[in-house]
Amino acid sequence: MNVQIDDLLLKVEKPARYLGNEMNSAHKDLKDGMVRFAFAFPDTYEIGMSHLGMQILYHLLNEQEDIFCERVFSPNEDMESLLRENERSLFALETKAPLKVFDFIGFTLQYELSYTNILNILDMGEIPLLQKDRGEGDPFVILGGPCSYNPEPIADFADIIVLGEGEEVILEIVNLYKEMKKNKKWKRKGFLKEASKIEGVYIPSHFAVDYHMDGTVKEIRLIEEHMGSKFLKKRIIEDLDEAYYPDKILVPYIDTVHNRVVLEIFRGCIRGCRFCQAGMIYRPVRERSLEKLKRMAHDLLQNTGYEEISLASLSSGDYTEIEALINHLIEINQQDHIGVSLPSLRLDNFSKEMIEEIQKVRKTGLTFAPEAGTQRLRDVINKNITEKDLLTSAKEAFEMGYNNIKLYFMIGLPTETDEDILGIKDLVYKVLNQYHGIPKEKRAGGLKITVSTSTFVPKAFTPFQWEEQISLQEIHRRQTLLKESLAHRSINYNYHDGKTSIVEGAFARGDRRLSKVLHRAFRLGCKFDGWGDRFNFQKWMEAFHLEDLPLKFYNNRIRNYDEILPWEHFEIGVDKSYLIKENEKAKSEEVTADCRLNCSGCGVNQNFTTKRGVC
Amino acid sequence: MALLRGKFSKTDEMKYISHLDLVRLFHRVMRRAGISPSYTQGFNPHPIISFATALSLGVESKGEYFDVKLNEEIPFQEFKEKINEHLPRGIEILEGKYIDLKEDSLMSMVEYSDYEIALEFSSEEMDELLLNEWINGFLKQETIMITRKKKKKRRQRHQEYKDVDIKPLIKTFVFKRKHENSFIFDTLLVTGSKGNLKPEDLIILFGNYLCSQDTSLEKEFPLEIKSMKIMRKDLYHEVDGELKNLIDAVK
Repeated sequence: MNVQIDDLLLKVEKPARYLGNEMNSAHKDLKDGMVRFAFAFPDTYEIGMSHLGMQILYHLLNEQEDIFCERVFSPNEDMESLLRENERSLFALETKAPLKVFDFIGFTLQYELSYTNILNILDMGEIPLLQKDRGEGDPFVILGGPCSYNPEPIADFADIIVLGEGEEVILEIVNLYKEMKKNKKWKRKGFLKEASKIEGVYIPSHFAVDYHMDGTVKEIRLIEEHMGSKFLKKRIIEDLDEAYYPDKILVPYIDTVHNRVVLEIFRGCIRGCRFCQAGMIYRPVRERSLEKLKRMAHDLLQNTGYEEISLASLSSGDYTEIEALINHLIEINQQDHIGVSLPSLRLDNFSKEMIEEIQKVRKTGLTFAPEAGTQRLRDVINKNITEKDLLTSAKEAFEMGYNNIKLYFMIGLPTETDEDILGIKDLVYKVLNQYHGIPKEKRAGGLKITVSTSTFVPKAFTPFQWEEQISLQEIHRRQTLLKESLAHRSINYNYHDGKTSIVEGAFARGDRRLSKVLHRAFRLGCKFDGWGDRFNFQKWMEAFHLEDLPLKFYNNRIRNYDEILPWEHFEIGVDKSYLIKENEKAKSEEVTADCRLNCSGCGVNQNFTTKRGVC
Repeated sequence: MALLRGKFSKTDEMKYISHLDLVRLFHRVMRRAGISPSYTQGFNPHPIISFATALSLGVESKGEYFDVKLNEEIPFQEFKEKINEHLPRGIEILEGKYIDLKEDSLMSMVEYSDYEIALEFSSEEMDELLLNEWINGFLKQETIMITRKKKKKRRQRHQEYKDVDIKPLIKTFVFKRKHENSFIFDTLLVTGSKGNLKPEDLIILFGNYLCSQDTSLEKEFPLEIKSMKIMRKDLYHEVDGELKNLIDAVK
């Protein structure tokens, strides 16, 4: 019954992607009554294996004796062709069982452009794509992750959507299922009805959406009264120290994007950047204690043999005891030659001492994210970094021998003008001048400044959720303007193709009707849309056109505050009135202090209680 | 400081991991096992462990070797048990001994590999005597040429190729027996810095030779090689005209 792949493995690149026997992988004897869960990451192995959420839920589920969780990734092109040519089903890595034998297929929604890969995995796994076509005996398709805060564009394909953090709710769902399965007469619909009573569980088929003539949402309604609550509140873990965290993680054979131990130090963010969805949906801030983190670091390094450790959070420098933590990591690991890498360090609390500490072990590249080129625009987006911060940090870095600096910006932010675009240029040249201001013998040669811009895509549950996204033409114009102004041999300018941002934008704020566009695009052959070389804009445009849904409607209009948004029935704890207030403050270029300095009353502390947080 | 030379196997599913993956795996397994190797000096220190020669992806082996420098000597048996406990199924340390710090490196010592190759042909009816004849014919050729990529020079864009005679690199190539549908061959090939022939290349050349002989044969010919399984049995160094494996070759 399991899928044979032995004869295919030598015909594909990196066959180790498909072995399923990596260090710390789970292998169980199948028993009656065991629930089989396939955790699917809709992208390549290398990306999926770098995802912390998968690592947590995989081990969490497998610690339960009567649950067996296996992994599924999007097979690479070569493997997909071989499987399809030989008419073999997509399989889960650990047992090579075809997907259709599983009780649940769980997908994580990390980015909108991975949605076609979800359809492709279901298709290759011989599972009916549409929820309405699935029957008794088919797996339940369950979705979660950051994009599930507006899951409407993919709602037609989901049986269950989890809103918020999954560590507790996933077990509640699976345990409910286990109980119901004991009664032989259980039915699919009956299970969904029961599951809808669990907080954080959204059953899209229980809801219907009506639209106005102009395409905006008229009403989101429960089809039947007794199907759970009309408003769906996200789930959070109150106390991170008590929350499940594995003491071991899967160690791949092949190199992956983040091939190291990852310590999640806190959730939420005190900053409140107005473009940032993570900063809103993951509120409130909750930290792990230093003691807990020390123990975790020790266990994880011991149980994986990894030579590198990194910290995960939205802004690691904001961890209350960041210096003590880093000192600890460096101290205990100096002997073992373990590298420490620190992503997401904000400029303002980035100290020279800290860089030097990291350098003792391994030299890492330096990245700064000022996000916008002028102070005015940084105030609009509430990115509280000044030019002085950046230049001081850059100078210190150059003095320490760094010659490679990366700068990240966004283009297309609300209120942006050409002055702001040229402000990026000015800032980059000021960084360049910092370098040239240092005597030759005191700096490293071969300066390289890499400037990257992404296109701003307004996201649900942010203060900018009502704002307009700039058009494709405008994206190109602004990119060209910047490109021409950054012509310098030491400066390298990278930018994303605006076409992907357009599709991403529609799905980020789209409604349920987009499920049809998604289905259509998949049938036309779209997949791996997040990969520039495989993204097919033409086909996407065709899909929108065939379903008669104009992209402009989703991207290029300002929504009114009283418009019912497709995600109106979800509660993330941050009040809508707060998001409106923040958007208005953006327009008047007023900044909001971080949560530690001053509570800005987003409402999350009224809706949730926490431990070791700010509120 | 002590230098330990070990022999290990890499079989079953583990044949699918590359040489680079294998190196990484050893680094991590040593950490998990609590064995600390010596590290290189410099900016990006890494454990001092070296291997004899890379095994192609898909080839199994019962005779791979590593040298690892340890800060402290621990009994080999203990080393073996600790490491094997953490290695995935398919990779296993078999034997080993401490050698002189100044001993020649594995890479410079390796001269020959012997392989067992199992081939399945598209036709199962195959005359074993004929097969031996073909091998003889194949080996009696004056030269056996293979086209190899030339190393690219700096700034060179286009790949250049050269033809090399690999006949001197084949020490033995014999048909041993038939096992089910497979035909089992043994071959001893020159391996290492003085010349190197991969068994899969030998089989391709042999297959090409068979094709070229095709017309002269009356019998329907098994043109296609359906599957190929290769097992490296051991690696050798020549000592006083005698082949010894890379552990026994050390005095």
